[in-house]
Amino acid sequence: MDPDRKEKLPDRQASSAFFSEQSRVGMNADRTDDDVSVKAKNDVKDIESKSKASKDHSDSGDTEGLGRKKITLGDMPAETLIHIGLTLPCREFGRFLQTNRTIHSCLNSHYVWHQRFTTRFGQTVLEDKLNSPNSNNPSKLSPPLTPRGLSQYNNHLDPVSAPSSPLPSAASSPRLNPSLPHTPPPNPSDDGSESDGNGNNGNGEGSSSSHAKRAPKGKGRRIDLRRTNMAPKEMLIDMYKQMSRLTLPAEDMMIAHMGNQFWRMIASGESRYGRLAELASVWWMDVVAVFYGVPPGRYKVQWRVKVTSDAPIVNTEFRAVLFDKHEDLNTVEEKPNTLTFKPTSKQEFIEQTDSQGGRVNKRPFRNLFKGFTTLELPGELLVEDDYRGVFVQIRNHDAWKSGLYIDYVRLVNVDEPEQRKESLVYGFHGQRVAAGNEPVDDEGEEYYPSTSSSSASSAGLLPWLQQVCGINPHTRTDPRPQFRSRAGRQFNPVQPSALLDVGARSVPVPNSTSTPVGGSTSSSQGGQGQSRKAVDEEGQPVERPDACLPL
Amino acid sequence: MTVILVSSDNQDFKVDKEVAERSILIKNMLEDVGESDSPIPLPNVTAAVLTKVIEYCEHHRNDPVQVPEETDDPRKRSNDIEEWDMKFMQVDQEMLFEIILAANYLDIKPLLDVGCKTVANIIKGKTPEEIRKAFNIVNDFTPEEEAQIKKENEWAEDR
Repeated sequence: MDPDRKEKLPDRQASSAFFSEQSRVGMNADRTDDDVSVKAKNDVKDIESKSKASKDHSDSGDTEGLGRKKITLGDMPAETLIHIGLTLPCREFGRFLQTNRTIHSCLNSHYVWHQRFTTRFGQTVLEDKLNSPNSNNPSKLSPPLTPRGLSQYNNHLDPVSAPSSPLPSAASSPRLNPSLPHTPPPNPSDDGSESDGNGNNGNGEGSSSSHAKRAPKGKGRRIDLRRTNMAPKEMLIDMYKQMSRLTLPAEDMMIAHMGNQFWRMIASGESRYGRLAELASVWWMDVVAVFYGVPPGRYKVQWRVKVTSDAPIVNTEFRAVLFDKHEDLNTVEEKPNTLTFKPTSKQEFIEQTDSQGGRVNKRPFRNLFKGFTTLELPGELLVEDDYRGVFVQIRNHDAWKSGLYIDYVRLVNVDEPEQRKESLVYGFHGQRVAAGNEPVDDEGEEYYPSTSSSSASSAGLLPWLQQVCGINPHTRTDPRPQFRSRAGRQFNPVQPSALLDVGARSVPVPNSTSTPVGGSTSSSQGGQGQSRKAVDEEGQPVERPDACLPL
Repeated sequence: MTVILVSSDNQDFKVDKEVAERSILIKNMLEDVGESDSPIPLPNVTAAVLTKVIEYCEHHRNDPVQVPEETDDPRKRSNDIEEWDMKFMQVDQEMLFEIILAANYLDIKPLLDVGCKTVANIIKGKTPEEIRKAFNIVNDFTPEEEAQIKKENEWAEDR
């Protein structure tokens, strides 16, 4: 080799320079040889002979002794490289693939991806995916499997939807079928055409009923390895990509009664995914998302939602369940909760979100009802020893509710420093104080601007600004006691008459299941119902600046 | 009962049969050879490496022998190396690779696992360029190829 090459090498120990030289030689010689394993066998001999040859030319000596071959990672036999590659976590594996050709060709193989996939997600999901009719279109990325119980929705339909939806039978709906993956309909415009009222969604067809009858047996379910071994590499990689996500957008969740009438998917710039699930109105509220192959660690579950009324959050259960790769997905839903959160009041809900506390939000309820908030379930999921699945659910099966937008759900690994910051409890936002204990520091001026601001009918920018920003120049230092604790307010409904002197806003009646979202206008003084917008004296809605809200 | 193992540089090692049989290769050889006392040649393993390997097998002589498990065994995670093993693996890179090669050749799965996990731990947290530097791997991609492969694997960054 020409001595010039050596000089261009970065400054290292002489022996290192020598051996990288040598390994380059080794690889060049073998580049014509496609078969890595053959190369591997010849490796050791080649290196040995070349090392002797190069040594004669080089000044730098082999500090380890004459004639000994020095091995680099690239010279390891394929099986060893594969073994190392299988040990690497996902990110490092991707990076390792980028290092050089030998490693890439060795590790980017069908075998390795198959192994990685089954180690992480198990054979069960692989078989299920292959059994789905969409398997002949491997490039189509399907959302994760539905674990819904077969009989759960069979006879129980939303009482309103039953007569109105043209649904042939619940069993044939692919989303309800445990053996079939939940897929979005093939047509690109899926704004509501994917309701379960449409039955098959281009997915179930004839095979769904036969699948519906075959009940998976549970842990002892036998996998047809011939099938699972035949999954092509590209399909495996695609599925791996889809299923290894730790953030699931709304469109990849299983939302009961998603369609047009009750829930719908809407385009929105407020989501980084461009779409939100919007709850118009529903009785049986049931949202499920499944994470597969979650690596060991401790996780917090976060939902990013926009809540515009009490009903979807009060007495709603937010839960998470861990399950093993081999577990029968049908039974997961019935498993005992790993984490659960069921707020009995708006206050309780808010305590677990980032809508409260901190210097910015003086009107947390208002923020909750205006923009997106992140709900973090109390407690942590502990995934240990092995990859596991996480089943998360929002459910509330009583009473009508409306006014909920879902952006995504995610798992935050609090063991990883970069992710830990995202957690509400551990991260930056987490200067949240436990609510209820914290004295209200806005001088009671949340919903109720003082009388004097109502006298700000004198036109001018300043009074308007003050009202909008909640600044009351006439506040007494002693806030009125009944406004000190928000928690107190929940349990003692304030009589409208008490509000007569405090301006135009009304108290949301606790636990009201509100009227459906329909862009309600501002309410007048002493009125019932939800008031979402501030009003000025003329009763015109005033836009609140949401500068403090990260949307 | 002891057996004699002979390294590539003609050094003899006397070990207990039980220890030697941690290596499936040696175990099979011994079964084939029967009760003979002849030494077992190991032409692919040098004395230095064989010393280390024997040390490992001695320490783990009482471990339960692992049956071949399914693909989804929990061994594949890098975060559970025992302390003794970790110290044992604190050798220079060359020796590390030699140990891995020897474990592969001699078919000593636990040692191979530990070796590979150690390498995986070195790789952890490094960018491709840093990995290359750490292991003296030559980048033989063209810039276009490199960019393309990087793009293909970008998704793995946050998984």
